[in-house]
Amino acid sequence: MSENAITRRSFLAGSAGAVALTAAAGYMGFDAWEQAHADDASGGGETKTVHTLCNACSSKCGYTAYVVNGRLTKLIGDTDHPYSKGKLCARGYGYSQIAYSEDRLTDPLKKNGQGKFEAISWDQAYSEIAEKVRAIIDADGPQALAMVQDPRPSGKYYTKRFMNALGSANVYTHGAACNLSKESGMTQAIGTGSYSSDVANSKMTMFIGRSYADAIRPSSVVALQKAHEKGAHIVLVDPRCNNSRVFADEWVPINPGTDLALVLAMSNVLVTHGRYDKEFVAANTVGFDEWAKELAEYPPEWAEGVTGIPADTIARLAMEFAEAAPAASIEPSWRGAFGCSYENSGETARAICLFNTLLGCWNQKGGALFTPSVSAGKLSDERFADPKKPEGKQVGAAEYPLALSSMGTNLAAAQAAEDGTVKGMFFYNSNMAAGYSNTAKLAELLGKLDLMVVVDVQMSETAMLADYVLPDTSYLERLELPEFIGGKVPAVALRDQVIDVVHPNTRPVDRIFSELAEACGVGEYFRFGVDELADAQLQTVGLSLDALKQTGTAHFPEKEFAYGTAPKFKTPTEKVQFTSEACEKAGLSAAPVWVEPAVMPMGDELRLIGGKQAIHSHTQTANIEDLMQITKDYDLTRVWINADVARRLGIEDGDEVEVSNTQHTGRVRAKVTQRMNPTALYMPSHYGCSSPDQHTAYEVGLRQMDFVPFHLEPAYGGACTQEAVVTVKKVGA
Amino acid sequence: MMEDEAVFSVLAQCFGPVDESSWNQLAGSSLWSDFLDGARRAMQDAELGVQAAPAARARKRCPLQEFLSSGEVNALFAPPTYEEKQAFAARHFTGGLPESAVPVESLYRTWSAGAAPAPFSQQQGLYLGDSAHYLRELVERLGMEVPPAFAACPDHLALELDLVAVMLRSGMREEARQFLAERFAWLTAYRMRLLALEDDARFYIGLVDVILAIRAQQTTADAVVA
Repeated sequence: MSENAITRRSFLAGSAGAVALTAAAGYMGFDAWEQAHADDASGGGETKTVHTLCNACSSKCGYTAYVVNGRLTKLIGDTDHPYSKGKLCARGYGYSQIAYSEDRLTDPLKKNGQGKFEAISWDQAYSEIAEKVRAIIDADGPQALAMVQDPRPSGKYYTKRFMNALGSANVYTHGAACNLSKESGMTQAIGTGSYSSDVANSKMTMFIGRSYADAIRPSSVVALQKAHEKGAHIVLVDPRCNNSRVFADEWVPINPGTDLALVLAMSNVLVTHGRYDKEFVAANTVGFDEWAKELAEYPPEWAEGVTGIPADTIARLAMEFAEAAPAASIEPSWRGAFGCSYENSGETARAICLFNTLLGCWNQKGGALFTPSVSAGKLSDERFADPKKPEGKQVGAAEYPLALSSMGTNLAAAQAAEDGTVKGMFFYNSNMAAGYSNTAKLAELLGKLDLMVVVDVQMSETAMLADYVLPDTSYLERLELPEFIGGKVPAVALRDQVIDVVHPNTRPVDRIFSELAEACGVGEYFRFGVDELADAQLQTVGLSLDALKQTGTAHFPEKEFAYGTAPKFKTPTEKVQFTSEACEKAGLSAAPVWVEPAVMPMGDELRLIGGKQAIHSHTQTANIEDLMQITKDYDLTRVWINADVARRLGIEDGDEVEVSNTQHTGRVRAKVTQRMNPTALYMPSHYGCSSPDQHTAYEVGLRQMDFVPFHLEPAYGGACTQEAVVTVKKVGA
Repeated sequence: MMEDEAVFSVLAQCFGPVDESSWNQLAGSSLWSDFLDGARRAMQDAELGVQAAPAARARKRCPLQEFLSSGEVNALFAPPTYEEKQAFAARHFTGGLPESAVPVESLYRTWSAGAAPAPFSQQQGLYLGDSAHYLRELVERLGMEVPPAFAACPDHLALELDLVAVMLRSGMREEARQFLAERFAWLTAYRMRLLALEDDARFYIGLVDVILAIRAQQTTADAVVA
């Protein structure tokens, strides 16, 4: 290349380095450009609308995105979507800016010898990862590989297919740190992991540890509001008087970790007084007599000492339930108090299903419903054929036999890195290192892996530990597989691509795992596009991709739920199981009995509990500037402490306090309130980010998981995220 | 001595991706001293883009040390090898890392003053803000296209510098001066970002100071004329 060619080299204008004089007339200064585009949003620009699904939490609410001249400008919740019903929450609006965030990962990264990340090419990333995958499989077999993912429409399909194609059964959701225990416990009782409380039509609904107003799904909040306005008795059982209180009649400030005792005692009252649905129980259950015998041990007077709830209140609540039945239920919850929190979470979930059974409320108006769902049928195109089912069982399945295999115990997989049983782990949309259990222990375990690959949009704490980080497109930049949604009228909805890919060197999840599979030698299972698969799935239910793109959501009215239909219990006995052989085999009582939490506060100790705030989803949204600004405006990183306890400790509202236990010590400000049980300290579960790459979230507040010991719930494998006690003192006192 | 348009082309190549052979020819030859001479002149002459007479070209000018720190001057006199340039880009010209210092104007400006009233319009530090959309449109109006690799950042410093070079080379001297005055104020904040890096960024800081000095010289000259 000549000198002249080098100094005329242009990224824009090719080798000539100049434009024609006629083109020069097109110059426009910035002020003139701004003026020309001043009315773009009000109709002057090129506007398109796209139906898509939010990604700020697991609900995936449907909305219409407005894009003006290629830029996202407006989001309107879709009225047809069963969860959004025309509304989005603050997270939905705020999280959309992730597409343009400064902290987006823009290139594949590899950690160098100094422990710092450097950009590399996709080809290099794929070939090096594939080489390590092959080495692990050659030495230890495919079961030495594992995947952890927080399910999203495409992600859950492609990650599982990738691992199964490699021959590994070790595919885990985030569930062990979310709702694994609850879903697994309920499955033992009623054969399915959840149900829907018909809140809007109920006469009485009890929420245990769940707050619709703090973990918003718009349709749920609307249902709760309706129930409240219609005079339903709404009871919040929670150590913290959460923000659903505006729709509630009663707050039951239970000692954390003792919900099982409350449910057992309420069941005792119903059985003792014969106030249960005897006909339903006789026709649809097994093991009732055995459980009834156990319940004799748990009168309200006993439960008062455990739960801190007066016996009279417990008895009254039980009798109110009996009066309201069958238009009454205990709401199934999600993560809340027994999704994964305590040593007794799975058994609490089981007991709740049995209590609802006593009410005879299954499929009754206002009760607890098994709503229908639709799923894609079998696909005839050979390209979509499933890989051979892996021969091995999930790591952790033997130790935690009650954990649903559809979720698995991800912490067991991490633990298996300790002895080398698992040598390579992949993570998709999962921040295990910051949110699943003790952060120091997880870092130690994951540090033992030979290969750690993270696919994400920003540098999470998990990504920081990885050998390779592969940059995902944001959810606004890709089409995903259809999302089937159960409900009174089941539906299917679509996350369509809203904007062009922002960073050209990022790739969508479907492409990343397809290309990784190709590099690893199992590409034959991925020779199709996500659009082809989406269309094929939709064709099996009488729809098409093009049709669903037009509406965003489609319903299946022919499958509509009808009150009063006989529920089908998919248990081994096809009945509600007051006793479970599987539980007994796993070392638990055949019928649920009281199980102590693993730790109890002693002396000045308080139990550390977590929970969502309405503007954040765990650690995922903390780096969104608008949402974090709300945190700062309302001082939301504060820990909540009971006012009487605070007075005794000399702590005043707004004081900086030191929270400490054997795992960690940190400082934060205190909110002193009567809205807290005196044995507990509430710490919001969104803060304490330790990734300096997340400029907004970094080092704001404390992180609950720093204080939580690494411990798994026996049999169920939940993360025991609230089995931690701490002490609190005023800084400088 | 290198003309102004070539100076801007070289500046663009310092911040943008170039292949090994091109970089070696540029940084490993007399071209580089020509570039430094050209930059020195551009920082001191009021007439950007004007072909100076031989006598004027020979006029004595202040050394670079008058404008840059000695560390920056030393760095500019010893440009990085191709490997060093690549390594710096792999650590700093990629997004999402604590050591990221991507030279993109949108990241240093309010996202939109009105053209896109999104829920986050008033945020700073977001890609594809007004400046990016302006640049894309301007490039297209001039009959060119933003390369696919710059899709996230038509307002990347390399493209902005390149556009100045293209305009100067195309006889659009006044437009180039206006563009220079309008667009490069963000480099003051970007310079701070480079300063905060753990790695030695003096070469790039020196280049930024050269651009800011050229811009200041033109702005001062415009004020005198006005």
